[in-house]
Amino acid sequence: MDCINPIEAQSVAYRYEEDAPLAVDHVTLSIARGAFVSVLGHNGSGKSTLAKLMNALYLPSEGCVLVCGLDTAKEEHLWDVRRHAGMVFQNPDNQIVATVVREDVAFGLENLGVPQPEMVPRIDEALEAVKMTEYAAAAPHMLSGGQKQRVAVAGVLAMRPDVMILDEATAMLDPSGREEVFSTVRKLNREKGITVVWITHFMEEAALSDRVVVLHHGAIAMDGAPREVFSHVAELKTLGLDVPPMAELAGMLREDGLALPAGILTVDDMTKELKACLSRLNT
Amino acid sequence: MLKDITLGQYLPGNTVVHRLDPRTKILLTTAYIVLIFLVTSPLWYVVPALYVALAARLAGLSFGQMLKSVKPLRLLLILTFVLNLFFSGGTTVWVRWGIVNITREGVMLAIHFSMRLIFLVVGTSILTLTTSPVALSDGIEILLKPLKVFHFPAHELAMMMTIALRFIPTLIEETDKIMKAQQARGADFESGNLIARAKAMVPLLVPLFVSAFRRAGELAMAMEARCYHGGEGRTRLRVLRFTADDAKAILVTVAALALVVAGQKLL
Amino acid sequence: MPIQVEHLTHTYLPGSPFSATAIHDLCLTIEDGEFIGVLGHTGSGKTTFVQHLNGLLKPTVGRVLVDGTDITQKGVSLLDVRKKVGLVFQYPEYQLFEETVAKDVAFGPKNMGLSKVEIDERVRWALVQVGLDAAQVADSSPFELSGGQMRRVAIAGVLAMKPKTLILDEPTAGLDPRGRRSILEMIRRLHAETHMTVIMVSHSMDDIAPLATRLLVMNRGELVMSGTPREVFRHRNELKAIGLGVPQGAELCWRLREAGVPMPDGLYTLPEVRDAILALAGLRPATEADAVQPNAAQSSDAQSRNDQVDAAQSSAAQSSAAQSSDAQSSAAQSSEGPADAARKGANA
Repeated sequence: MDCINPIEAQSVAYRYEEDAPLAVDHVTLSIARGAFVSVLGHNGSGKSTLAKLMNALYLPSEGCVLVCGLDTAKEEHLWDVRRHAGMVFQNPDNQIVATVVREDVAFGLENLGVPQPEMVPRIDEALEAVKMTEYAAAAPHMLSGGQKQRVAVAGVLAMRPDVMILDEATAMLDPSGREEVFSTVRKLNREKGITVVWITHFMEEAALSDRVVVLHHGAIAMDGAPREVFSHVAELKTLGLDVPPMAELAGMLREDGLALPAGILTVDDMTKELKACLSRLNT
Repeated sequence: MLKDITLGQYLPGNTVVHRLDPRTKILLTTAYIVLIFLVTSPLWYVVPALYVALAARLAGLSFGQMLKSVKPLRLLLILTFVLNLFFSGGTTVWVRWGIVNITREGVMLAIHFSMRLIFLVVGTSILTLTTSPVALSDGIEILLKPLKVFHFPAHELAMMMTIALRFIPTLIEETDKIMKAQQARGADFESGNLIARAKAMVPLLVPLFVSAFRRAGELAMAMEARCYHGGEGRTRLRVLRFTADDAKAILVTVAALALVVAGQKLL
Repeated sequence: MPIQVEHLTHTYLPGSPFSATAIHDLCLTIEDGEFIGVLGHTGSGKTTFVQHLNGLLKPTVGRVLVDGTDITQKGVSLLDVRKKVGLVFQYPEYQLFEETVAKDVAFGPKNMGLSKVEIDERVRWALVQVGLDAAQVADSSPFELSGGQMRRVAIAGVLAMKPKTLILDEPTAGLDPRGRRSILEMIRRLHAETHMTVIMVSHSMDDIAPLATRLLVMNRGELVMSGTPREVFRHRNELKAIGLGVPQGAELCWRLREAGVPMPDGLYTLPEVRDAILALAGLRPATEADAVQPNAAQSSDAQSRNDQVDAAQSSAAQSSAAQSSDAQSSAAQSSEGPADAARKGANA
């Protein structure tokens, strides 16, 4: 599909029950093709609900969501929407269906009715892309959490989606598993141009994306480049989120009169800026 | 660790029997069961005996492995033998001891029924020893497909079996974890009478079921997100193919059947 | 009385083809009132290790002494051991089973055979300790609570047994930042107020560093480091090599030293890093006292961090001054370093 924005939410609202408060409160959001967008927010901020609205798992109570130009609310678009916008969930154990890795990657293709001879290369390619080729014949329960999540990513990838939505896909992993899954998806985004909606509460991950959207009470509280968003240290804290330690340190140093530029996020940034700053002061 | 346990009896291998189409193996096992029931005199068990010996040999299974499959049934076997031995009646009395008679007919029947049981178990275990549960469910699904006209849920059945196989190790691990967690709170699963023990299971079973339901809900959503909508229009990665070996196996089986039917009639 | 672990080795399924050694020859002593952080990535043996401390797992070789009693011996009442050493599992909310919160928390005390009055009192006490309003939640179903609240109820269930030692296995796993912070604060307060020994298993340096008085670092079933956070974080390269890394404050100091900036060694909290930088910039005199001043901009984490490091501060401050001049030597420190630290911990 040659639409410009693969995800287009127009004043979308969602409530779980008739009288319940809005879980997503009239969000308007366009996600550009090829972007890697992180959605941050504490539990109950509506980020997971928003993800499920992008995949027609939930249908908007008000407004609409267009996935590659297709209205998710129209029943005839259902399977197309889900093919265009693949989804990876939080719990690695509860999204793997088959008893063998390659058969799980095949699951989506089988559902789409892809002919068998075409399936094989697509599965091999997907497993290769997530570096799980050597585990093709393994049983999922013998894999680590990070490996299971990569299998889930391969399962979505084999369906050749335009958008990949990962709903806290790293929340249950240890730091190395988290890094493994994040860098895999980041690479798919860079190399294959797949648009990624990365839902998380780890600001380290959000800091490495192209754009950060912060949700609060179902509405967008902040939206911008990571350097921009993470410079609002106090505001992020009131929203119940973490701030990158280096952004926080930069704030503290500025307060005490050290002239540091804006947009410091990582240890790399800080090392570079401090070195420059200190050598300036000492000469 | 618990998650290393193997499921069922399947012994992975790459013999000609392992490679047979699961449909062939299911059908042949059915034919074999028919064959067993066609045998009317103990002497003719030599045919299934040879048949099983050949299959076991081709599958690379040892005599010990075959015998192992009978082991769980030893009580039933002894019971079958003893009941038939003592209570079959008959005219040619060999031993008389109080009200118990051991007759020639009784001995023959005891041997006959015991043999039948042994051959049934040994023969069918070749199927389960050489066919993975996944291949089995595949075979069953395709064989039962024609029954769809009668609204028989062949695909759903196979999908259920796959999911069960997938989640058994996960749930075993979870059971282990919950058990330990409750033990850490002083729970005792091992002592007390039957009622006390049944009651002690509540702290284990409730969390286990809560978790199973949670997993089921999440899995259903994940399946839907990957476009699952039942068996309609679905293709399959695993394609089953009949080969020359399947044809040979079928031929041998038909020959064995013919031998038993014709042989018993003529001799 | 302390917990002593002597030559603990644990092999899963010994003698079978699946045999795997999860812990190898682990020796250490945990003193009363310590706050121990057990670090290591998945598969390092940290969970297996803590399950030995209350007798859930039996050592293949070696023994574990709790209050001088060898709990690995036959005839030792495991219930007695579990009264002394409470263990909160990972994702403990998945073990809740009773109709009401109060009944669930009462499960442990009930198994201990306590009187009803005593049980009720303990349930109330435990719920307060985990920061729940006993009157409000006691009679509601645990399954109606939020995830964070369910976890608190589960922790209360172990606390109600009033153990002398509380072990928590990844207590913040799967929580969002707000939930994580509040559970960590709850644990900090619990340790400060009840003086119980706390052993917290984690793979997050940032969670554990502000709380622990001593860190144990495990890798492939072996104890590779033991010491105060300050001591352990000096071994940045060794920690990186086993996939762990150091808090960003310590990482920044290391990188700056590598770039030729004379940052002192052994710093890791943000306020102390800030003060060292300001001193270098000539904006503030280099006094150690400043490093422990809580900063208004800091979260409660940082606050607790400052409380906790007080004890370690004096010795660390002395050695940091000595080492700061020679940045390269600490960077290139041989593997002797962590082994020394480990021995020190084991002998303590």
